[in-house]
Amino acid sequence: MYRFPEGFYTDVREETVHSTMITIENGVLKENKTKEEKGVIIRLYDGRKWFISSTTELDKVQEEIDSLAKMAVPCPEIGEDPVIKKYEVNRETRLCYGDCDVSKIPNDKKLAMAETYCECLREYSQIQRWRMYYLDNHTQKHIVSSKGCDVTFDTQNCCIAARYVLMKDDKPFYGSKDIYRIKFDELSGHEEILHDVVKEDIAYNENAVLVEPGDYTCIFAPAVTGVFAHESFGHKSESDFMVGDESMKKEWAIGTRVGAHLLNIVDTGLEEGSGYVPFDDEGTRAKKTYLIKEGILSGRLHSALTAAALEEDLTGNARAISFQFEPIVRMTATYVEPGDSTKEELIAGVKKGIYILDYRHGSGMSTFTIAPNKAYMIRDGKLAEPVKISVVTGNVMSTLHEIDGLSKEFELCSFALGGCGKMEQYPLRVGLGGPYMRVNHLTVQ
Amino acid sequence: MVKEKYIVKSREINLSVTNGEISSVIKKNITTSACRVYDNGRIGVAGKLGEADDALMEQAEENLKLGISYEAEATSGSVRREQMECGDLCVEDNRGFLKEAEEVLHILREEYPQIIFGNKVYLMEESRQLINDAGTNLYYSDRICGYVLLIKHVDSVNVFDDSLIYAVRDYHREAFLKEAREHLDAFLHMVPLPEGDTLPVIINTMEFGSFLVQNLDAMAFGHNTSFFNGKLGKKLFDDKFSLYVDRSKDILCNAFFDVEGSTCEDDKCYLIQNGVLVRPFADKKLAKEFGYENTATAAGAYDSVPTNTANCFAGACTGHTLEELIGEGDGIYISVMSGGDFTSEGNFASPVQTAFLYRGGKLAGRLPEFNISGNIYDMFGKDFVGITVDKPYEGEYKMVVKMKVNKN
Repeated sequence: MYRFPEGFYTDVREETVHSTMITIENGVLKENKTKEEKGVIIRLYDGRKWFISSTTELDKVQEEIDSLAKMAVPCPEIGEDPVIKKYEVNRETRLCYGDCDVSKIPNDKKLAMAETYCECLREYSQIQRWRMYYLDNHTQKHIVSSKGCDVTFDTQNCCIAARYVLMKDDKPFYGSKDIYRIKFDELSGHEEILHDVVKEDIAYNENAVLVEPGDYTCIFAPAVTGVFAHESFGHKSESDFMVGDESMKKEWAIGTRVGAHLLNIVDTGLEEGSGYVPFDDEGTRAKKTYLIKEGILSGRLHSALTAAALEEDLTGNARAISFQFEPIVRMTATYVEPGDSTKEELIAGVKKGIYILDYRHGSGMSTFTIAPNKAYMIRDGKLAEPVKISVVTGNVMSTLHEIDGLSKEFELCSFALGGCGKMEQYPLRVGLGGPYMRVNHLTVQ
Repeated sequence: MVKEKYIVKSREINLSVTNGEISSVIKKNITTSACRVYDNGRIGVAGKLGEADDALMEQAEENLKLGISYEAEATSGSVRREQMECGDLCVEDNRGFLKEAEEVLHILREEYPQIIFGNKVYLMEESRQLINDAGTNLYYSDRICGYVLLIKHVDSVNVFDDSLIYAVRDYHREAFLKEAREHLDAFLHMVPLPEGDTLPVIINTMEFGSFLVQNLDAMAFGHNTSFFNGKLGKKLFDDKFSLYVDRSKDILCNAFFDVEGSTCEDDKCYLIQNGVLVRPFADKKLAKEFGYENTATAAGAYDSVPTNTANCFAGACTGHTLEELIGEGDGIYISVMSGGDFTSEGNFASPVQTAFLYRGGKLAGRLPEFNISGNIYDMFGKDFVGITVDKPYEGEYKMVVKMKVNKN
């Protein structure tokens, strides 16, 4: 198909993305676009540097390959390079969504689906303004390499995303709910979910008071547990930060105790949802990777480059947000495995604490942060008044040891809008989740 | 019926940096095109990667049938062309740019062996053109060179400790190295947090701006969902504080027109002037719907219907350099702050991951981690110190605000 020049490793990733975005704002149709985008990224490696080109000129891929080769220095032993030796040579076509391809659904059906959910929001006089999105995406990728990889696969999602503003005493509250599914037919009939969230938001907004800042035991709902796992530890498991860094290698040696005994954190691209990637953007097959098992550091996430540098196995985590970017080490779906308590038992064990139901955003460096959107005091083992919180913070290194309870209930969450950001690559779809989780000694402001 | 094309072309060389060395050279050459047709209060839009053609315009016309309302006129008779004056580096000369970046990184590695450098160096060229059959032809192009280096001490177990950010049109190696050396020298020298519960914090001018711009949106005002409901025309903040839509060349890669082709007089439009809330920001449609002034703030993906968007805002300089604003005392220069937020009451709190002591006109050492907090009315009111007239770091003006500081 392509003439790969001698003395280099070359791969070509072609992406075809069909997507629809419908926006209805306060009952008025504001956007209804359906499009197909095609682009290619070409990578060429000479054993020292990668030379990469992304282009929308699909008829000039061979020219680009040849142009990159001129910038590089041929290496006759490129096949023996540790990075190249790591690459899996997968040859597979895995097109799973041909019979339910969202790009084949007529636009009027999609618009009608969005309208159905708009009706829910119209019922609430407390909603001052709102926006309803219908979003879908069917992506097909084809990756070929000079080593013989040739994989074709697709991913798909369709979503309803409601965004609305409630007011109380001139103070806005921003509410939201995403309904994420794989097939279009699965997207209907979830109005009650949206009603429940809106009612909960209205009650919260009517009654929430400012939190008294301090040190608290917190119980995280599954989505918050997920963002905690993602921010506090997931990013530290992305091993591109570790290559050539002896301090990191020593501190994060496999086998080191990093958290409480009950803690297991997993990353996998195998679960359907917003973290599903059967192959990564280097053509490596998805795996299930335990980052932490029973509190012990058990694994980390890799591209071929980092796996070779750290002499570990590939994990299928080389990902890019689009053909315009090179793959770097990213998470897929990251979650905490469930425990054996119930949500009620976790709450009952807290004299004075805070239950965090959902969040606006999170971040993680040496200190992780979660900005809660809805939170409630726990008093004498029971949920009490709703509270407004700017930010919850904790030290990453110590907080993983402060987890002392995990529920049986578990949820892996997918998201319609936004995603994970790293360097310049935002947003990347990821999944997050876990059980209800109890964590001691967090700073609440 | 008015037919319009909006074309964005970007070319870029991105050099990935791993352990202080260039690990990859990435070339990008991306053209995005949108065709728009305006007719009778409706808009049809079609977009594609690559050049616009007749078929795309036909698709846009066909998309009028989707019934998307657009209660505003296409921009007519507006003609202007701006090509920013840029330095000698050019995107075509990828070998020359690679050589320059490699030499600079070599100098940094030699001088600072205790530091691991990562992330990227880039050279980006972008042009935007909006042209329609109502006589509008607007063109803007710019080129910038930037370092966005993540910094990590060799003994640190953090993913990264700090960032060294630098972006200019006219790149000069020595100017970058002078700033980098001051930053890195301070990074390697730990100092204690100064005494006092409230200290002057030096920060990017829009670092706390998210709350302001979210609540200055004409959509929020029009639907009575703004934190500032009923306060238009009222003095809310300090006399010195002004916030405006900035479509001037002060902001890099910032066209003088928005995606609807709207412009501002003198490329600036005040939202807050001398502490008084003068207007919300509004694109054409919201301006017409709610009777506000069009502030040239329409944006969106290349193939989207233009939407009012919080972008290209700036705080007005208050007439002093950073050194003059801080004076004899100490300032706290915030380099990395992530994860904080405002409550609906306007109370802000955030951990500060990396900050420096600013003393005697320069960065004097790195501070331990701490938290800052404040209220929106105080931060831009009694605690607002000013915005610099110089760009002392990162090629940016800096804002000085007194904030409550809590040690961890």
